[in-house]
Amino acid sequence: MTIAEASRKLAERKISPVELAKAHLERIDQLDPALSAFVTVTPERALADARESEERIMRSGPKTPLDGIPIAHKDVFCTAGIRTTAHSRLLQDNIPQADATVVTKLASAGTVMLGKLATLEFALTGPSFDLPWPPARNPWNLDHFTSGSSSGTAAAVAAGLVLGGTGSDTGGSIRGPAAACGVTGLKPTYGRCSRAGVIPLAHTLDHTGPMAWTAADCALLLQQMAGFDPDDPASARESVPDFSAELGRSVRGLRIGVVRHFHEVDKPVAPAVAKGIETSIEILRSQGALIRDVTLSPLKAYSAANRVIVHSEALAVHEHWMRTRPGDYGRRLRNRLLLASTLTAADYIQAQRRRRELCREMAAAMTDVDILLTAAAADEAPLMTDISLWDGLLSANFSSPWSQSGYPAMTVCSGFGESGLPIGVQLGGRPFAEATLLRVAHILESETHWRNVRPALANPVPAAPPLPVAPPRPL
Amino acid sequence: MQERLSRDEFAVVIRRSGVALTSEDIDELYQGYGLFEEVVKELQRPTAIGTDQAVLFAAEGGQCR
Repeated sequence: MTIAEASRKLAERKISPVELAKAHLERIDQLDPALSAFVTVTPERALADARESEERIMRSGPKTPLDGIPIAHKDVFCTAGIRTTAHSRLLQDNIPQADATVVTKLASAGTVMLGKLATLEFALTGPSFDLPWPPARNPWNLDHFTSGSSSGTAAAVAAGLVLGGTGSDTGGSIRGPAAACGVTGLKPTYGRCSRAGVIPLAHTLDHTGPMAWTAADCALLLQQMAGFDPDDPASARESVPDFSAELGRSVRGLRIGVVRHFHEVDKPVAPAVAKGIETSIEILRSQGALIRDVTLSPLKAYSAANRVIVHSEALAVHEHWMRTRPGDYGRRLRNRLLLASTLTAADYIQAQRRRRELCREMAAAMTDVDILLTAAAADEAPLMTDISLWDGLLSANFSSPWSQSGYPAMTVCSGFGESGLPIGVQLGGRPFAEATLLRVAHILESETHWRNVRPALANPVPAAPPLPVAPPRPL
Repeated sequence: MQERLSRDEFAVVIRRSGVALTSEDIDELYQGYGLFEEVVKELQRPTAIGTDQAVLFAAEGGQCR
């Protein structure tokens, strides 16, 4: 079930918010011991939210399309009275006094909060087994990584434990896991959604955004998440359009640039990923979009600037704890922050200067096209055991151009690879043109059957363990 | 590329963090440092003089405008 489908049924009073919440809580009970998507489940809060929603809907109808919809938040979003850990021992007893702005907005929309979702420690590095909670596992194959850092959100959406959720994205942390787990993830324009009350990773790069099964669902979530927030100094004073308005509209005449050198030269991709890109291009071309190749700087230029900025800014966030509680970090993040201490002020300045140049390049490219299309990742999600200690430093990242520029970008499932795990394409748009991105993503989803395929794990819930871990079967 | 810090210099810098590190830890970290240096090399410039202004935030403001 998608958010849009559930929303219709709730409005028609064909399903009850309380029963919907109970069904998802039961599913979490049965599946999450294997998935580890949740750090904290909040059944009492969920049922209280659901009862309120039910009374409201019975009395006067839903107050928004998200009224009664079960969601959960990445565990870097502060939740008043509910533990917010950033998946770290340093914050394992942290009970915030206030909600993050985005959490408040989604609660005000009538959502039902099921709990807090796994991340990488403080949203950086890779899967760690020396933290108080295990890393989330990929529902398409539990031996594989979810990518990160919005790992739990992607896993929970794919497995049907939640209908949608929040993510944060500094260097691809929404788009990467969305691609790896076969869900839809949107990094809005920098400043579109508030970061107030979200545990920071890198202040000049941090974004928040929605993750769900479809583009239409992301539009519904973004509608409630977006808007100016005086508590976030980077928040944009932009009006919030109807993000669903362009869904179903034609792409005829839309100019789509393909950054072919990214996936053919800079970071060659697996054959299935290349096929997914070509299929996406053909779908859009057949619907009247104008396709052309676009050349940008090599992908590694974007990734280099991103890495130096992320690590420098992350060290600024963590410097005090690195001096006072270094043993409370997992090995991966502690090592990474130690290395960050070798970066100089000059390195950071050079990275920011390069970033300005790359932003200008992106702005110039976007005067001739409406959308840029690239791979979302080079291949399917790797095995957990194949993630090196220095993962993320070793090769360029398709997400970086949009992390650096702050332009909006999203990933959409474009099929499955040789091992049966999902692959994706990434769409990048103009500043604050999320509705156009969603329109294109919706077309790609509507013209393929990938949204009809769920992980075997997420098919009808088994009555008893063991959990089925069969490979996915694309239609 | 010649790393900016030798293994011994690196050990001194890293130990400034106050984190207790064994020689093996330093060896492991020094491998990662080599990767960091490759990233930094991408950003280095031949000169600070020229038309390339040291602009961090453009006059129009924000990354997205």
